[in-house]
Amino acid sequence: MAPNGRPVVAIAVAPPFEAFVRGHRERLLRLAVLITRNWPDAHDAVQEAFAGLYRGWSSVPDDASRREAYARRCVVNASLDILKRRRSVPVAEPEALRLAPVVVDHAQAVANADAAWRLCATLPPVQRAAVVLRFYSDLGYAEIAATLGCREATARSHVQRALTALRARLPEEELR
Amino acid sequence: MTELEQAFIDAFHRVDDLPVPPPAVRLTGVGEGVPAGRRENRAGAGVTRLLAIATGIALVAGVVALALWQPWGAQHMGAVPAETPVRTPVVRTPSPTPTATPGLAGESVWNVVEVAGRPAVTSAKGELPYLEFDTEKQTVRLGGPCPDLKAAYRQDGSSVRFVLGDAAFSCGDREALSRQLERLWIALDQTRAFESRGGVLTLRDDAGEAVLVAHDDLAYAEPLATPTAPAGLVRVAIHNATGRHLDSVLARFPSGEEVDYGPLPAGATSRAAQVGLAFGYTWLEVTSGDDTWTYQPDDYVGESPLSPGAHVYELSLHGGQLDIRAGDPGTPTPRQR
Repeated sequence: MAPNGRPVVAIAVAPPFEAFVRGHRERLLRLAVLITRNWPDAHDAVQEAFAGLYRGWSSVPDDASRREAYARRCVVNASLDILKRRRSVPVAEPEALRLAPVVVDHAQAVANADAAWRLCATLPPVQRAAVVLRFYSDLGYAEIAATLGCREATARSHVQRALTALRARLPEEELR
Repeated sequence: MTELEQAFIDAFHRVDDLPVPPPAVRLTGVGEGVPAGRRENRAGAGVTRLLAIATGIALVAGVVALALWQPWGAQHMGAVPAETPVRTPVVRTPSPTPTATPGLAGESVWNVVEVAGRPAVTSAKGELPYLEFDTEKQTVRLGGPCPDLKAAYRQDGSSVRFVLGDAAFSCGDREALSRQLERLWIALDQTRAFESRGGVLTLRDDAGEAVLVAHDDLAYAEPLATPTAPAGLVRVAIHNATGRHLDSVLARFPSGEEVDYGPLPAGATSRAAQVGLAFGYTWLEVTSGDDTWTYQPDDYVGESPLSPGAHVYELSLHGGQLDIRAGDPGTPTPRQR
C-alpha cells in the first residue's frame, strides 16, 4: 500500500537488453567458441543470436534461468548455422584453444583432455554441440534436447557415442 | 564422474582461462541506440498514473526512435534490410594493390617464413616448408619437412588462384608440423593475388591481407628478418643430457614460434631453430616412451633475453623432473641448406 493509501501495483520490469548482453556475452562467447572452434565464428554466432534476441526481446521469458536458456539456444543454433555455411576447408584453429594448464603429476589427465579436444574437432556439429552442452554448460539431457530441438534419447545418444569414441581413441593417443 | 567425462570437462573448461579476443570489427555495442521506448521505467510516487503516462510516451518515443534508429543502425552495423538476418559486417583495411610484378617464374623455389601472420615452424633439422613452382605445367609443390603436397594454379597478372584437391595433413608424429601443413593449405586456398619484390613473395587473400610470406633465399647461419621478427634472431638447439632417448621434443618460444625438434637420441644435440626471442628457458613438452614431461615457465619477469646468435638448451632429469639450462653451443652451428 502506498503512503497515499492507493494500492501499489507491482510491475515486473524486464532488465534492459544492454544489461543482459553485458552480463552474459562473455559466457555465451565461450560456449560458441567451443562449438565453432574459432573466435571469429563465435563472435558472429553471438552477434547473430543477440540480434535475434533484441528483435524479439519483449517475448523473451522474464524468468532469469529461462531467459538464459533461451539465449543459449539462440547461440547454439547460430553456431550450428555458421558451421553448416562454412566451406569444406576447415578454419585454422587458434593454438591458444589447445593450451592446457600443466601439472606434471597429472600428465595423464592432460593427455586425456587433449584427446577429448581433438576428438571434438572430428564430431559432427550437432553432436559436438550436445557434448559441449553436457560437459561445459552442465545441462541435463532434457535441457540439451530442448536446446537442440531433438528428442532426449537423441541427446543422450550423441553424448554416449562421443564418450565411446573417446574411449576407443585413448589407447591410440597414449601411444603418441 | 568417469575419467572420460572428466576429460571432456577439463578440455572445455580450458576456454574459461583464455582472454576473449575482440571481434574483427569494432561493434558499436549491441544494445546501444536502443529505442527510448525500451528504457527502464523509474518508479516514483503515483506509480500507476506515472506508469500510464510513461507507457504512452514510451510508445510514441519508441515509434519515433525506431524510425530514427533504422538509418543509424544501418550506418553503424551495415546496411541490412530488416527482413534479412543481421550479419556482422567484416571491415578490413586492404593493403595497397600490388603493382604488376614478374610472374611466379621469377624464382621457382620459395622458402616459407610466415603463415597467416605467424613465423613458420621448422623441423628439428631447421628445414622450412617451401613452394616450388613449375610455370610450364602451372603446378606448385608444397615441400619441406612434411610429405609433399601438389596443386595447380592459375595466374593472370598479379592475380593467382590455387586449385587444391583433397589432402592429408599428416607429418608423421610431428603434430606442430602437421598443423602447419594444414595452415599452409588453407593459405593457398585463400590466395587471390601475389607480389614478388626484393626476394620476398607475398600471397594475399581477397581483402589484401598477407596469408603467406616466403623468401627466395635463406641462410640459416645468418640472422633473418621477416615481417614479424626483426633481424638478429636467436638460434636455439636442444642437447639431450637426460640419459634417455627422447621420442619427441616440442618447444614454444616467447616470440610465438613453435619448434618441433623431433626425436633426439641420448647425448645428441639437435639442429638449431631460429626464433625471435628466447630466455634461459622456455616452454617444452618432451616425450620418452610412456613418459611425458612439460616444462611450463610461470613468466620471464626479471630474465634477460638470450643474445642473437647460437644457444643450446641442455635437458636433464633430476628426481624424475625435467630441467632445462641454457648454455653455449661450443661449436658453431653448421650452415644448413
